[in-house]
Amino acid sequence: MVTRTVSLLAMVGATLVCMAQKPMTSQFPLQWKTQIGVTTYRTNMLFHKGLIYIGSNGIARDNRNDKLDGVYAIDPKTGKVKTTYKVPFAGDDDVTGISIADNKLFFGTDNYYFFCFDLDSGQELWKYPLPYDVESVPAVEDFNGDGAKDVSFSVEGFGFYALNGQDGSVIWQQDSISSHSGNVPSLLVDVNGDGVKDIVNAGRGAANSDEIDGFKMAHYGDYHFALDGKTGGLLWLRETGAGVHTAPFLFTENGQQRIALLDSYGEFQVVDLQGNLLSHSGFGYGWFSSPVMTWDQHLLIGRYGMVYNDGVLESTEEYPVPYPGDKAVLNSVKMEDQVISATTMVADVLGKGTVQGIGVTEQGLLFIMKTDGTELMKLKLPGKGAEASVFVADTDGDGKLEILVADLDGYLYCFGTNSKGKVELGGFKNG
Amino acid sequence: MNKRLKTFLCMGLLLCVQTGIMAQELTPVKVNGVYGFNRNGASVIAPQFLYATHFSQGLALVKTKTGWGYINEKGTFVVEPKFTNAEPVRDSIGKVYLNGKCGIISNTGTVLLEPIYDSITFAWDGNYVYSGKLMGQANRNFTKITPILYTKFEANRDYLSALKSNGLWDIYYEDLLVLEDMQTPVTYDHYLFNSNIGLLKKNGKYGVYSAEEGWIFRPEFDSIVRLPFKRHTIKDNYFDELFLLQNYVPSQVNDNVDVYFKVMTGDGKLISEETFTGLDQASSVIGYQQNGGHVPGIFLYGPESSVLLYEDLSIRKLPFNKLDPFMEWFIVQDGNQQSILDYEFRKIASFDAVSRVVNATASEYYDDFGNLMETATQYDYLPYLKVSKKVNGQLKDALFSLYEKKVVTPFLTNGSFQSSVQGVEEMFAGYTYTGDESDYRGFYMEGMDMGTDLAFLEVNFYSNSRCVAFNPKTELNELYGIKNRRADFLMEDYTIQPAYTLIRQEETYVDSLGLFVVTASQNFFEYDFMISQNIEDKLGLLCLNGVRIPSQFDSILQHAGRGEFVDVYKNGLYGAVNIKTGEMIDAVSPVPMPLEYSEENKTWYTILRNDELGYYYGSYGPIYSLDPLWGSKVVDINGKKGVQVLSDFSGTMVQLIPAKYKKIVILKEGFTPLFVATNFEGRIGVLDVKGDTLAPFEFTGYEDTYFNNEQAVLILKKGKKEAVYDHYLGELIPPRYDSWKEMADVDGNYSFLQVTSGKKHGLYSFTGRELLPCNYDCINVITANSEDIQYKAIQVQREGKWWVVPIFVPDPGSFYYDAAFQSEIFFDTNQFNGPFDFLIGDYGYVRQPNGEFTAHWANVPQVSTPESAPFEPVLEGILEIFQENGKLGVRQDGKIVLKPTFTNIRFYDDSTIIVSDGGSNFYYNLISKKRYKLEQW
Repeated sequence: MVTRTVSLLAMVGATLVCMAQKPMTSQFPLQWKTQIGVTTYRTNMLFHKGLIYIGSNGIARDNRNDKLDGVYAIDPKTGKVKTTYKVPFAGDDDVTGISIADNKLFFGTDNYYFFCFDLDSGQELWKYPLPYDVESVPAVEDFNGDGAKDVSFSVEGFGFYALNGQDGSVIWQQDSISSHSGNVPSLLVDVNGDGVKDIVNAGRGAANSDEIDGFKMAHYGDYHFALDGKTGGLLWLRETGAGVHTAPFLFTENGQQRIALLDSYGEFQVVDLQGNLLSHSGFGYGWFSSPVMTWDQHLLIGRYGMVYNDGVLESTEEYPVPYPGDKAVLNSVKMEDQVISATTMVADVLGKGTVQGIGVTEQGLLFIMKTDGTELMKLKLPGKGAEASVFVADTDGDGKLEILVADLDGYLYCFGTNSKGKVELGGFKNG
Repeated sequence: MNKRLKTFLCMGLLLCVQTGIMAQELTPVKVNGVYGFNRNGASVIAPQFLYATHFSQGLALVKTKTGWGYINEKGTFVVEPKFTNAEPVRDSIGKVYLNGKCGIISNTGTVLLEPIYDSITFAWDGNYVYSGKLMGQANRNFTKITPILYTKFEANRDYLSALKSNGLWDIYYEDLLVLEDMQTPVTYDHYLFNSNIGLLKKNGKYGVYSAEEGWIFRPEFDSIVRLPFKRHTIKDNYFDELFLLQNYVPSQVNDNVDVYFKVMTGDGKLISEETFTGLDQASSVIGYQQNGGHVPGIFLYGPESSVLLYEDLSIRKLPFNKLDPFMEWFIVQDGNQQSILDYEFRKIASFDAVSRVVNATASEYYDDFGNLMETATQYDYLPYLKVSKKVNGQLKDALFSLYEKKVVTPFLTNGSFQSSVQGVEEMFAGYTYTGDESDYRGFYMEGMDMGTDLAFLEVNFYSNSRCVAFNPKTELNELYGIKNRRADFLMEDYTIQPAYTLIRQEETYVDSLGLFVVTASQNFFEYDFMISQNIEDKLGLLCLNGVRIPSQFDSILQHAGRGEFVDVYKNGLYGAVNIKTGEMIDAVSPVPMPLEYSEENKTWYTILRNDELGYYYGSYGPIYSLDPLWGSKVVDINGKKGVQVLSDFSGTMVQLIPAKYKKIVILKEGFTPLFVATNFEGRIGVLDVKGDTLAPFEFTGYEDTYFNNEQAVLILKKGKKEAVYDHYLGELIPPRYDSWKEMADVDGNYSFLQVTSGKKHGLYSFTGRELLPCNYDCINVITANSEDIQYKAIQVQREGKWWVVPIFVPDPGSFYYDAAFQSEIFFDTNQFNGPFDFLIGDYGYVRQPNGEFTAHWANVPQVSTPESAPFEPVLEGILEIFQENGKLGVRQDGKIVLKPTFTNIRFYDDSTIIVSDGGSNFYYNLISKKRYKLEQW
């Protein structure tokens, strides 16, 4: 039986306060900071061929013709912007999720377009017009079997697409399910065993026609589901109780691959690759941060904005995961007036020989905890706080880890560590 | 794969096909560093642009050396490439930028807004353009634009209110500036519900502005008050509004400000030219009584006259200027008198004075902080008024009942009237009153024609129109009720109080009749009989039926088990009194007597010890005990047999059945014993436990047995006839038929008793009800609904015709099955469907004069009548029912297996059919090809 404890990073209105936290730089010196514009909890960072890549929503998310919109390639040693990838025409060209494959940069914008740029030249290779924004991290996989990576993504409030990575032509389009406005990043896993990774994502029944109760799907509600990577056809779906903002993840239990699914109202489901429910549990409202599973089978999830009334609960040997209100929460890092949208990363940033969980709040705290949820430290970030998950890697090649924080003040901060420890999960949708 | 998934996948496929269609559109391609457009791989617009987006709504955004512009699908510039940047066309417009300024072009190339604005935004309520810190609003198609001198817009209905930097509002209506420098915008709070009328403030005064008519009322009012106006009578306009156009005028009599107002409806019209000073919601005063189809809405009081505004906005001038509403009535000054009006303003009565009845006069008191406080005078809110008239020059007062429309107390000098309530719910009970300088009081209870004289000292009211009044002459309390609309003397004693004040309360009891009230705060005995107490502290009571049990008991206690009884205790022994009937069980028991009711014996009995039963036979005499199983025995007194029982109270044998019979057999099979007695004439009769004769002494033999449904019965023989008696119900079948039998249907359920005389049959229920007289040739009970065999039908045949009645016969043991329900199963010939010539299964066939047949569903209460048709053979598997010469026969594989001699055939299963006709009634097995009598089923 797997020990599975949930460590909630609960944003509590508890009496415990986070007064006078040490500044971040007292623990991790600032290496550099670079203005890139604001990011969101859907933003990911990539470290590719010695450069850090990150998309930007510009000076402000609602701005049109925002000069900071675009994708930045940054030198990790200096923080200098090496290349920017920008949409040439006017509009809301915010970029959120990005992917790199075959030396191509894939991203969608809030200007109803999906782009593919040549990573080296910075030239646009192709683009595809869409009915609405694309904010999720694109999933790259050779869907059509031509040997080159293709790309799949959801369009906010609309369907799912797979585009040929070579020329941007449509491989398939699936709009029987509309993507949730949460723009969930896809999990790629070969569900149907055909050798091509399929897409596990979430969305909701979409209005389509008046023929079947006005909706394409019998249930005008929220779903987790899997789409065939080759065709876009539906492989399975599971109803869930609320919109989904968190990314599904894959883990192994007793040698079997399992998929973990969490909706924003806290319904946590564990299914097998065929979508059969193995267990489910309720965590309560408020989940934007994607859950991650640590090497020692702890589940780390940051919670958004809801009061969680008890931070120190007994561990349990039970599986499926019981309600956290009962006894599932092993430990939680309590904070006052803080909310978390960022996903917690897992790395040994303290050089202790064992990994820690590293997360940030939107109100400016970076917290580090043991994988069992025990709080190790809270540090005050120099900026405003972050929605985007931190990025942990040895980016500058000095053998020590860096912590990158895309702050809501519009700057990307790089903090050095003295740790040469390992990284279990270094970036959102990066492992 | 489930159906939903299949559907889903099909849709996905469809969409992929649709995507293929999209691929045939013009697509921007980059060739040698410049963009052109291909369709299906073939160049349509030659590469020439520095950049190109996809076509959207007929235009593609392209960039040339001179700037950004839009081309059509022919490659022709619709908007010249002169802009520094631009956005693809969406929603028929494109945003263009020139030198940092923003403009709008249409998808036809028209410049809707020149690129002179800092920014342009689109919102649900309009399009906004910005220059510096000021903004303007463009209409939806950008054909009109306000001046750019506003900081805020409020759009409501067709009004657009625009706030200027000086804090004043400009008002636009349908894109036209109609008012300037208002102090208020037209927001939800400032427009009228049903019209394009705005309430606007200018120069400190409010006015009413109509988009169509301009100022309806110039801004000359100090305030305009929105008044919700319920208009229940107007469909889809449940709530409407009135507006009070108010002006404040300093009072000429004090320092206050008087408010004068006119009343405007939601469409900007005054309901009248009058000015008013006050109002009342009429519904709160006079309810919703209609007056000629009009429902009262609001009373409007004016300095000169008052009106009633109805919900349909009609108004009625009121006959009196000042109305003092009270409940559903009004008190008005009517010349020198005061009159009472009903809700239709009809005069009910006039007196020299009319006033509300004071409940509590104003009084002073000190609060917790030592401050002297004063309570306000409180008035009754009861349908009574105090009325006064002058008698010999002296004002006398009486109570006036508004419902009864009459005076209900004597007129008294300086009369004072005090209402009283009773019970935990504080229901109005009555009035006590005094006057005429008397020390005594009278009382009035609702339902009395006239209150009493001033004859009592203390009066207390209780439920059920009872009151206890202390008579100073007898120095006893007297209990009164109401009879013939007068106070009715019920009893007197030293003390009289309702039962719950004196009765001991038991914590556990079986309150089968729901006589006790259990609340969170207290349990109390609500059975509102009265208990009396004499001067020696002995208790008596007045039972509910008026039986007076004189005060004689040491105590009266709530009975532990039965709400309708109280235990009475006297001289160390307990008895009981039924407070509903006044029946008294003598005080003979050393312990309180538990009481149970025997439905079988229609009597109460008590159990004195765990294993012994004692019977109280009510009107049959004093209490004694009887053990039905072994406590009774046959005794021989002088050669005559009787029955005695052992009295639990006296310990001696007491007589139950007098010794006058030749022989008595005690039947103990039932819950209560029966006694089969033989008289000296050799006739047998049956006596019950009360000694009553259950069956008369006219029988010669008997059999003690059970029906198939386990109903215990006695079969009494009278010559060749038999009577059937139920242990409890008595006679079921009288001894006048040749034979009787329990009648089973083919499902094996015994539902009825069939009686037979000669060749005729009749039907009885198991409760002894004669359902069908004994004059039918054939009676069948069949299942009418295969889903629920409780639904049956009875088929009867008489003179060659068939009738059918559907009935519901509950299964024994089902929820519905009990003797009471059984007794409800009855029917008469009026309920029968028919007559039918044939019955085949569930259908009845009627031969028409033309020889054709109509077929009817016979097992439902009201048969349907399909069209006439020739009789066609009825097929059931390989069987075929055919008719020949007015009779039915059966063929199997075309071969006749039953000749056409029947008129009623029904299939039971693949191998069995049942046939009936007057003389023949049997079932036929198609395999063995044998006939069997139904009794052999």
